[in-house]
Amino acid sequence: MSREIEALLSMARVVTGEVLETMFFSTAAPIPCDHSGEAAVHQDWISSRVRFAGTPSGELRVMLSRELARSIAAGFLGSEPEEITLEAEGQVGCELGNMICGAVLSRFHPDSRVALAPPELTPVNFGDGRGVHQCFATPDGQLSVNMHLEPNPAPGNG
Amino acid sequence: MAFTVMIVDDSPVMRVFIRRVMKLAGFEEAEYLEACDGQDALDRLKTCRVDVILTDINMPRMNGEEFLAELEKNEALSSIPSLVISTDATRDRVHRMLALGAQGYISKPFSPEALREELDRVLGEINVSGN
Repeated sequence: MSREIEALLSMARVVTGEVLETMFFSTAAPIPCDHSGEAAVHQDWISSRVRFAGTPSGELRVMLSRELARSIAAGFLGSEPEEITLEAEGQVGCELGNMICGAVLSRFHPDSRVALAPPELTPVNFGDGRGVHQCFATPDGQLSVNMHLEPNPAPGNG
Repeated sequence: MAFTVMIVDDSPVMRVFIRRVMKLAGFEEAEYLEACDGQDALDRLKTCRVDVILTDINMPRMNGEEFLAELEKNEALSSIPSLVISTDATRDRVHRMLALGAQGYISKPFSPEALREELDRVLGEINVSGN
């Protein structure tokens, strides 16, 4: 693992924990990843993606179990879990990805000029081996974060 | 007279969250106006008076940079204190927003205490209880 990847992974771990605690009144502890287990295969998941362009470019994905999505949405909105709609679960999932992505980029590349696209819900994809990937345990379910930075373009000639 | 806060953000759940955090930060008696982007905010400001504006940056139709630029051009609106609340805390972005007239900048994630501190700094001695 390159130093940049290690540093990015470390930053993603720290930021995810801070975001969960500060904005969602929950906690997130890094755990070994296991997406082949029975529970992971059959769980209902929400996935959001945030693309960013500039220096650097890339994308961040957040995957969370629906149970966790409902729980953190309740914490975020100050509501009871049973009051949370499917739409609110998705919107909060998108905000979670947006906050983690923005905070990681701002700290990892504080002098960069990067534009974040609006977060969007996407099919679940636990990663294709590119970039960094980390799973987290929370009191109400599992959370996964995947972040990929595009290679910097080669400098032009002449 | 009630202390009125305008929240400008394209995310409905984020607007709810900011209202909640404002109350947790001690602004229990404040009244709130919400706008989904800069243009919506400008339209509402034609008829409503507010004491402070909290604005996101990335919004459709009119983003936060464009919105602040419009506020500065308007003599009636340019005196309203504005704070940016954004996930983007890169140095260039912060510098640009402050240069456009924002008096404060809060990056996400943020605590109620951090929001209170920044608002207190920007608003100074304004009594938010309405007394």
